[in-house]
Amino acid sequence: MDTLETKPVYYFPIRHHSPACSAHLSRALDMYKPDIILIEGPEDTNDLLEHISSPKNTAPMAIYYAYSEKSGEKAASYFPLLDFSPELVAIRYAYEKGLPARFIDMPYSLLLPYEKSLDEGKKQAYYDDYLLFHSRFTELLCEKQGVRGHSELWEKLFELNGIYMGTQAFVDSVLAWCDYSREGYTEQMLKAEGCLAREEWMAENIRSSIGLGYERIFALTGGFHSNALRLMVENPPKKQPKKPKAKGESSAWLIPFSLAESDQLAGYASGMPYPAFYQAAYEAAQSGSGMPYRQAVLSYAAKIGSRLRKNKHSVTLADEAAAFAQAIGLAELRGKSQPGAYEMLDAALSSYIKSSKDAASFLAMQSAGMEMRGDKTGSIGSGATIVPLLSDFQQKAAEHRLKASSVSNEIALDILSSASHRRASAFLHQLSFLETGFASMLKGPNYAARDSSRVRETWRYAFSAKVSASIISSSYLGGTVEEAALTLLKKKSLQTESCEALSSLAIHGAVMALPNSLPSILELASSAIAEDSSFASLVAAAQNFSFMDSAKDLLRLPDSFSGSEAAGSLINKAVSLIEALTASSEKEDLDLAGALKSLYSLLAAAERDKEPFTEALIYSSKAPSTPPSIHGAIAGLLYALGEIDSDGALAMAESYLYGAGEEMKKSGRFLAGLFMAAGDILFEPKSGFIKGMDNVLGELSEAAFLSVLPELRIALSNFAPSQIDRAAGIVASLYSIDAESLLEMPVADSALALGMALDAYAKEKLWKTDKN
Amino acid sequence: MQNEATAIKPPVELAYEKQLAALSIYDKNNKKPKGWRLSPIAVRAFVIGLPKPIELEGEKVEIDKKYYGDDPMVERAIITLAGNRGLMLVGEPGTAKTMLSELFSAAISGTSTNTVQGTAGTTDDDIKYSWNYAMLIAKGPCEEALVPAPLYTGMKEGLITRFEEITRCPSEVQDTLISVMSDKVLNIPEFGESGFLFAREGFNIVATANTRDKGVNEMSSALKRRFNFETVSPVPTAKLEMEIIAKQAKDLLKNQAPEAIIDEDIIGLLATVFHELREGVSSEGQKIESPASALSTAEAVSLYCQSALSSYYYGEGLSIDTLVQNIRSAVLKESDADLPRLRNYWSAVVKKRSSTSRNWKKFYEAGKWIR
Repeated sequence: MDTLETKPVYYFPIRHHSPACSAHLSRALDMYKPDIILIEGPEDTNDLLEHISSPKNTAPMAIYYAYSEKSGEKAASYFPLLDFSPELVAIRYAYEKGLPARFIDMPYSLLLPYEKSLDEGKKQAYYDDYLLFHSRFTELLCEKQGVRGHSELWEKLFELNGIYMGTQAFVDSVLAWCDYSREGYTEQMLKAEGCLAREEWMAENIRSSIGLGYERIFALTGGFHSNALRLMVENPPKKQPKKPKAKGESSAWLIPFSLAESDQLAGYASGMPYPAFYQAAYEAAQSGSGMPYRQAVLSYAAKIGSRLRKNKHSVTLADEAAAFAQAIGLAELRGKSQPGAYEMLDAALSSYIKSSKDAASFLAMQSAGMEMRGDKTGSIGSGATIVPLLSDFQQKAAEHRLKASSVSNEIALDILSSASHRRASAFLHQLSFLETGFASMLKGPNYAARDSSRVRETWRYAFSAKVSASIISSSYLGGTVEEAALTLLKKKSLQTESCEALSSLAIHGAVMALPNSLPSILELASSAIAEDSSFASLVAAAQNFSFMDSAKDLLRLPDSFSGSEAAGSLINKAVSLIEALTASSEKEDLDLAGALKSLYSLLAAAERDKEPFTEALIYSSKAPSTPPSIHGAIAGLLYALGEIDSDGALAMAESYLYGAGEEMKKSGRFLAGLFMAAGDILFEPKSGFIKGMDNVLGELSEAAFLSVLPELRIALSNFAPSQIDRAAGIVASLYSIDAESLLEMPVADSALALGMALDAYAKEKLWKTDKN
Repeated sequence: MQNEATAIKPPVELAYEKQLAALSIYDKNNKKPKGWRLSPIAVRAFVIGLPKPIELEGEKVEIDKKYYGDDPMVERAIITLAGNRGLMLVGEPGTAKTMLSELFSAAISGTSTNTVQGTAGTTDDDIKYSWNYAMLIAKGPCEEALVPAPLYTGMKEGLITRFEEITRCPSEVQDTLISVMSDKVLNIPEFGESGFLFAREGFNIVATANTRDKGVNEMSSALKRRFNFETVSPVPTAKLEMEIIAKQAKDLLKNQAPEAIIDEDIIGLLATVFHELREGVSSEGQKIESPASALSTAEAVSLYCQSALSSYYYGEGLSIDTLVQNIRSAVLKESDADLPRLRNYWSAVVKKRSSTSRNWKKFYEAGKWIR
């Protein structure tokens, strides 16, 4: 048993999330018997320490730290705590022994200025081992040890071999590496990183613990800081520098986290890769295994094998045995006391993949990596610090039998026949309205687009720390998910003056089962009508409210709800705006033409007086500046209303087709509007429209015809294939040809060849554009 | 038999005789699998080199790096050979699969010549054993009448047996190996009840197969299960490729034309061109359409040697024109469609570089040979 130096402070160096550090830490704590434990962590989250240590919580968890400046700028960070994180081990130890524990590092809010000064993308989280692992020393050591990177280097030296060292020897080796790495940085670099400011902060906290009379202080920090802290504590500055203060507000919560999110490879820079694998090794060590990593490799050889088998790879028991043997052999060759994560992956590559490196083998190896990453999610049971909104979310999710797993799940809801499914659906709609990222609807009725053709909803959902974080950041909206959704709905409805947006919020309110929100939204919409001068918005809002009226049962709206009144006012306002459409821009004319047709449908459905509408149309049809698609739609609607016959419509079309230059080019758009509003004009028994069009087109020069052709094609896209067939039949009959025989005409070889060449050319061009 | 010392390419165990002897001294304290001459640690050192020389009888013997690339792959391959599965080296042509298998077998068994050379015409007899028929008639089936083939020899003496281009052999011939590899015993029915040859420790198989060429036969899954697969990838960077070309060209030219020019600049240029055409992207990040033919490092070496020899014998300087002509014929092996790809490379990448150095300028001008 080795002894530890017993100065007033024992500096224990760690790498975040290292099982070996945690194992030695437990021993060191037992040997040193501290009277206080100081931990590198933001000091303004000290309130959370008691909850972190609560046995009701299960790791992985994380401190979620949010900061907002008065300017509105926001920042957030995670501080993950896994079972094998030294920080968590120390906190739990303190709790068990009834010792005080403190975080001593600078508040995250004060670190932000440094973070902003760093190169973008170089660092992803603040409390990381960036300086340690990106030093020149580490680089050279990797080369010398023949490993593929710093993570393998750490594993080889400190995890696989380090667990057999004496604790003081282990601490000395970690310190040696850290100190050599530190040699590679100038003071200026460390200052720019914020490293020195943090160390001064921590040193000051250690000194004040000494000042408070603690005699056996245990200071747990990243190894990079340990010796620097010792020097700073022993040589305090003559004049204490002024502590900076954050200008904004910060708050911190304890949230459930997942192994997947703590994976270094998944973007959490300060973690270790393959957390599930290391968790298994840590647990093996805790239960007294002499070869914990070897045991983890054995269990993962089987786990990866079975995962690959599920993905249709043929991995046999013999392969698994071969992989285990291979891992052990590799460890010996590489001078490691036992195989680790990298030997496991190498062995899987050798023994499970029966082909050369290709896309399939890449995916298989990725899947092996995923297995070693794991998908365990922690939970917070200690209540007190948990944000009410988050706890309501967890409770409701459990009520609706939604799994709290980071793996995505699907759920199908029968919203028509089951009341409990309807409640679950409302809950999921509330969460997606709050933009929590928890769930998204894959299939189901899209009421916002007035589509009620489906009767079941299918949702995909997955829980993650990001979801927790976004729920927490919504916590100012209310204490329950329902309340938050209602507040947000009200907030959004107050922020908009568009009738369309308000009506769509009303539908959202309905699908979220928040009928209480509707009266106020309707009221807001009624008063917005006067100000809203957008024709499309008014028509869409009228459509939405009429839809809500007609789908009252589906949306479970109270009997007292009536959208028809609002819809009526909206329609009136829209009709009054028709004349103004003549001055709208050509860019939006096809959309407005669609809105015009929708307005006609609304009028027809509501059996309202069509006279003002008809008058407005007649007026607009004569205005010279009316954009072509709107003009076409007006012509179509007048035809539908019986104001003009097909000849009248044809005459309007001719005015474009015989037009000069630019005007002629608009004829396609005119026809598009016309066909959209009244497609049946082609097929009325007495209609001479097709014949007339045929004449007109026949008279056009080839160049003119070619210039209108593209738009004509678009116009014809308003018809279904069967309708186009019918139209073709009519055209054929004009020339006394049997339409069927046209289809059976032989195609000349040269034409076919040309067609194929064109096709290939187009494909190549498109492919290139796509590639670029 | 030809005297190996004057061979064009002596076997690995002769070419590196000294290094192997030095490594057996270096290896004193390392654990060796049964039947191995060197430990896995020394085998690895033989392939990827050692930073410091070893003292052998007062002489310092440098263990140079022979394979440039994926070191962990080399380690996996060695451990596979120490286990009970065969090693299958797969990859594109010219990625040094054969060289690796020679290095492994020379280091592990002391010989790299116990080899089946797979072709479409390979039969069972070429793999296991055949008979000396005169002897067979005179004496009946006996050991003297048996003509051992590499698999027989490997099993009997406990040697690594190399199987080159295994996928070129018909599938039914490949399958000869299946039961031998799992049971480690070869049945010789002609010998009656005593007709079993049990493999001695140290026996294993290194097979190579290439993934690009046409006319290969698929391996059965039963056989695949008995091998661990390792992919030998092309050299990862142009800089490394240049080092390899320079080293190998030097070795090759040493005997034939010791004064032939080794022009590092030209080699650098050649390595860059090969590397970029193969990877489909230039060092500046421009996308290039890769030719269909495999442009291996080995090809670059022979291409350079060809150009160097031509300048050596005809007494002219190393001609970039010859080099470009050779590149053209290297690229155009597979399909005529590769010529426009090469031209595109010239106009998109080489042209830009022609203003950066004299050699690139000359190289660009020699583009007339691919017009």
